[in-house]
Amino acid sequence: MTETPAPTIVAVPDGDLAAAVARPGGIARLADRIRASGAAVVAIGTDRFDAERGRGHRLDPTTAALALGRALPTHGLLVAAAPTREHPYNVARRVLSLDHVLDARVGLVVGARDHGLPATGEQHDPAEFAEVVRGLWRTWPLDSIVGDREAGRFADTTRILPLDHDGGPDGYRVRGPLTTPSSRQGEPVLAVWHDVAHEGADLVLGGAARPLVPLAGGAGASEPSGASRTPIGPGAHRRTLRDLLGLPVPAPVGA
Amino acid sequence: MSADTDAGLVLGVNLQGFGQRPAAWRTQDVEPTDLLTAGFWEDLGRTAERGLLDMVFFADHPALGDPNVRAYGLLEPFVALGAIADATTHLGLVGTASTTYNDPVDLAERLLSLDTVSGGRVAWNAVTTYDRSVSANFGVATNPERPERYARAGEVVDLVQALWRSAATGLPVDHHGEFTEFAGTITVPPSAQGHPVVFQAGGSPHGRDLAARVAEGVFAVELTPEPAREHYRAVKQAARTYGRRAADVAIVPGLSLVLGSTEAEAQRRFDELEALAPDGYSLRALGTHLDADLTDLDPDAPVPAAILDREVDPVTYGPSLGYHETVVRWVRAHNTSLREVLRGFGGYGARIVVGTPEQAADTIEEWYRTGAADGFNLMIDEFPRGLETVVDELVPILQRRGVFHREYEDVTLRGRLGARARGL
Repeated sequence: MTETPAPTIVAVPDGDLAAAVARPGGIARLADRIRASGAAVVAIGTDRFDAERGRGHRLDPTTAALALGRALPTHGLLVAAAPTREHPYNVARRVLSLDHVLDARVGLVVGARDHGLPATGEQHDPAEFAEVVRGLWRTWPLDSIVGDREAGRFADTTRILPLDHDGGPDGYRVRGPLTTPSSRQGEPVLAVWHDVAHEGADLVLGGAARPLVPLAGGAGASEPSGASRTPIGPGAHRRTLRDLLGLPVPAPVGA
Repeated sequence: MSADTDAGLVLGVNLQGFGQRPAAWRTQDVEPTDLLTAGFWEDLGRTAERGLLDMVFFADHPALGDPNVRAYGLLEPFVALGAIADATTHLGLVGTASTTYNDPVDLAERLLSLDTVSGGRVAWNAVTTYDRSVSANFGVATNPERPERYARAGEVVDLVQALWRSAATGLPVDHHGEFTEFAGTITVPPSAQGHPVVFQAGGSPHGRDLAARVAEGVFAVELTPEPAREHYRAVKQAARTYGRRAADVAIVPGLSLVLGSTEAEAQRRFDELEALAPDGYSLRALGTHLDADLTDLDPDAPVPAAILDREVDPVTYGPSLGYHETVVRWVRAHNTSLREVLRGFGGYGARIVVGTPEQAADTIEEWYRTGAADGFNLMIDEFPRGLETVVDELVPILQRRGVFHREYEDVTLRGRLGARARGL
């Protein structure tokens, strides 16, 4: 087996995303810039992990990823989240839902904090946040959906299990299961920002660990090409984010 | 009927999995996992837009129910709406999110982001969440009681709206409330409609008060026109006491539809779908709204007075008070036997029409013209089939009768609701 070089992950600046949605055709132009960069995977919203960069105009990363992911039908997309204000049940649902809608091209990057917003009084451990999110992704296996119309059996519910996470007095308590079954790539890629220590993560991003390449070219550089808006047909090579990053599919749960 | 002078009926469609009927996935040629694909929702969105419907709506329940009883809500609502947004240009996109189990600042950013990306078509249906299965996913033992839930809801809606305004003006919010503290702003670019529209769905006195104060629309729960008219007047009147116009809040009850080319055919379809529903489904739905276990009752005897006469405490009563009030009133009027009650309970709490598109149009027009509703959130039996029937057969009748528009007047949802809302 030959070593293939790790694909470039390009970081899309928050300001570019915010500027793109403010003008007609802006998303298509931004997609063109990303294609021109040669990167196979984009990271969205990671500016918020940086105290300097994380204070400008921005969009919710999952919403931005949905719009951009449809304009870039073969790219992988990593979306940022932090425990600063969000709850892991909501994040787990949203990112796994996004993974379904974008055909298994999605991952999550968990950072220690979102510098763009004041924190609440509560402090949460980002590693625990990541662990809960991933645990929830594993509560409802996709292949438990059997769809037996004659018997009226939609799913084999014996394979849907609660998470029952109890992080103690300062941690999260999350029962589960998640409302969303696992995806075609098993589950979204779980990355952590370099300021988060979590052994179970698929990837560590940012800093010296794996620097992200800033997206080149300022806003408004070119007219949109209109290319690559075609949805991927069933015959096309539908590479998942795990395929793009050379990551294994997690072992099935309860099989 | 009159000319096309008051074609202000608001129509939305409640996207409930494969349809409102729990057996809808068994009666159509669909794959269960279609619910997880963008294409399924995009196609429904395009069909709704072809019929000039004002909006699609997703309920939300951040806890898993038994998918063998009813499979819906597999995708998070605003993600599914994002896919629909990209496939449509005018359709309003209404998503439900809990004021109890979301951070208001995060919520404000997320909803405004989709509103901006979609060109000003998003509405937030603010709910307080009463379901006991949800609280355990968020680390709390029980849901807060109703006054606290609504006090928090009022504060959260106020903060979210203040953040949306601050995103446009750049002026920071300085909020020190009973439940939340926030000083700062959000920096999402404003949308074509400024910021999302707000809907409210509770039918309790607390819920109606919140709607009258802050909401531009109400998803009401009504079974018969007379109570619907009373509630319609009450909310519009209350809006005035808050210094708003009666027309500033649109009343949009749910309406369940099982349509056929003849009444007999519609009834056959209804019976077939009910026969394939999980055992006791409608009995449990009725029991939920009455907060009582009905499973051991004699189906040929009336629902016992003890269940209907019970005083419910609006503070501690968990389930929806709006449903409770509406359903009790309706059971009293139809209580020859539990079996008969259930036969008319096919909307599971909402008004139902089992009949032809003409008959559905009769109900819609009557409610609209007599001040019982400004429009309806349609709960359609099966997707995609039932939505196509609505668009191809029901919508043209409503247009001929002069109650429903023939083109989208405005791209934004706020523009359309504002242009068409009515006073008393």
